[in-house]
Amino acid sequence: MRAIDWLVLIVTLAAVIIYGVYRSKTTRNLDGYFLSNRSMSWSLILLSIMGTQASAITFLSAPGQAYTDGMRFVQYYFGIPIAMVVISAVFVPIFYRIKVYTAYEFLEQRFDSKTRVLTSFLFLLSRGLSTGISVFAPSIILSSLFGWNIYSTNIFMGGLLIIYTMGGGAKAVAYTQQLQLIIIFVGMFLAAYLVVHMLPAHVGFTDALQVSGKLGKLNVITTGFSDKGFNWSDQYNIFSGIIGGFFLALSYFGTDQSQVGRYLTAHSVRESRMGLLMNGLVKVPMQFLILLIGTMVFTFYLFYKAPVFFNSTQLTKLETGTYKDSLAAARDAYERLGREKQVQVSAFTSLADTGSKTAVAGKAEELRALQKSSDSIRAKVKSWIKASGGDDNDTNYIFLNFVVTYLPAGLVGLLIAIIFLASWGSIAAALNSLASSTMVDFHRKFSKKEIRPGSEYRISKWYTLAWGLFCIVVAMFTYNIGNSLIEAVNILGSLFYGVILGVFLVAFFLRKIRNGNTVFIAALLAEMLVLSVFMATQQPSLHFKLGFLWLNPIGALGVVLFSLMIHPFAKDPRPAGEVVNGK
Amino acid sequence: MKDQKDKPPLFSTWTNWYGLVIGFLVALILLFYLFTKTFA
Repeated sequence: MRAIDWLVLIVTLAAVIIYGVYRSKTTRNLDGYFLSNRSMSWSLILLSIMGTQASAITFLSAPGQAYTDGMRFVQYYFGIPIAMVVISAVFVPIFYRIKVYTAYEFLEQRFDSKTRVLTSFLFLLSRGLSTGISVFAPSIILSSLFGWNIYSTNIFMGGLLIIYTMGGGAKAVAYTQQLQLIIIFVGMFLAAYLVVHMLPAHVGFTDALQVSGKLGKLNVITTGFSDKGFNWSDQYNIFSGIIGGFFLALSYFGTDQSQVGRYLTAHSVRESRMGLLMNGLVKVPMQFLILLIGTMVFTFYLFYKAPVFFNSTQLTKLETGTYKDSLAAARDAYERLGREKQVQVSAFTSLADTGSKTAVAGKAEELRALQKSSDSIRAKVKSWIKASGGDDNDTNYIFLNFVVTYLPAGLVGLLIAIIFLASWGSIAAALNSLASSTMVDFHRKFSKKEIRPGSEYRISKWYTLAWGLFCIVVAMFTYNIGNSLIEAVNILGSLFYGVILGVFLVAFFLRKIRNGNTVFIAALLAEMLVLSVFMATQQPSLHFKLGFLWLNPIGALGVVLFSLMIHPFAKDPRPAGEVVNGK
Repeated sequence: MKDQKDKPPLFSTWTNWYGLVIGFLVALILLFYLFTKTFA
């Protein structure tokens, strides 16, 4: 990086930390620290919800995902608007009426203590580990790209935000997320503008759409059906997006404390609902635009030399290993194909403006054949990297490679700052929620001594620090995850989210089930079912494939069905009038 | 009496807001479908 990039990076990060510390002043009790005294407006709630969900991985992986697999990844977000409606209508009023700090408190009032502890524990386990991955994911990419030490990068990525998160709690988290998102949107907009601007003069935006579309990158809507019927292992299609994505989003936004903790800071049900519903309106178009940047980067690389594999560290390793001669030959062939594609794409764009439909279709067919050859060379190189024990997925490196190689000085620093800021937004919210669950669902619950509000505040700050350190330690031990990192985090969430959601669904909708043992046993059985299904999909000998999004409905519906099956054999502990349902 | 603070902005009921969010999603999916059909 050049000096100007370092300057932009340091100034941006320092500004956010100073702003966070400036906004840290809050009441020294749990209400102030975890709920910001329930004072936030819907616009802050919206930005906080978005800043919590959108990690660095979102901005790194999504354009890369569009480059390799097309825009169909956007379907993964189709369940979010539906989930926002259900949460606004059902979850939010109940959480407000019984004035909870964490979502899991409600389960103790509705069922019993152990159900609350189980769900809170599952949350701490999955959120703690996934936050560690959220620290590691951008760190490994930056350290590979710039040769930075991975350990110090992890500490900067996961450590600096602790300064304001520990001191200011939920309030500092929300205000810094607001500033972070503004910087992120400005940076992404500039990157999008420049990638289109840097295309050759004769290639306009619609030409770029035509080209990337013909090469299969604008597959926004896919059904998952083929000649052999529905493909259950297909990760992203309209059905898995709406059904699986709905269950995942309902669980994430409705029962994951890192999100529930954001909208509980609103000063009324109205502000919470508006924040959630606005998120339902803007999330899908936002992801569409981020993915569209990826397709523009794809078109850009049709005119400029694209590396055969975007993670240069892995390529360097291959250059010195047993595949070095094969790699050299593959690179030559890839570059030759690149030059041919460049000529053909220029010819295609000229034809698309003036030529006949048949001529355009013929040229598109030629382009597809060339792209297929390029893809097969890339696949070969990936197989060599895998055979050499390396990470064969370069999705997360594609957009950054473009940024570092082609964007002007200063903007590179800003885009690197964006990676830090996006990480900080989601990690800070996660640390705040991990601390609130530990404090409220465990410490305060199991402590035999009476704790004063001032002490609760101090202990909560220490929990925030402890979870920050835990996540950095997890990041230090996370190596070679193998698949795309965004998927690794989502898969981890899908193993637990469905079950947690199932417990809440029983609590909200099956009022006749009042015995805590019923839902507790049902949750354990459903978790075993989810883990068994997931392990079965990992065994090649079983030939059983299932997209990870389907684990969410399996877990959620599993708890509901097991609860209904166990219910007739369980005693009813309380008269119906005593049931806590929020009314 | 219903708390005035919980009344939705712009519309008279929350159901209208829910309809707007779902309707917008449906419209987006239709637009995306046309986008896919046009370019892919």
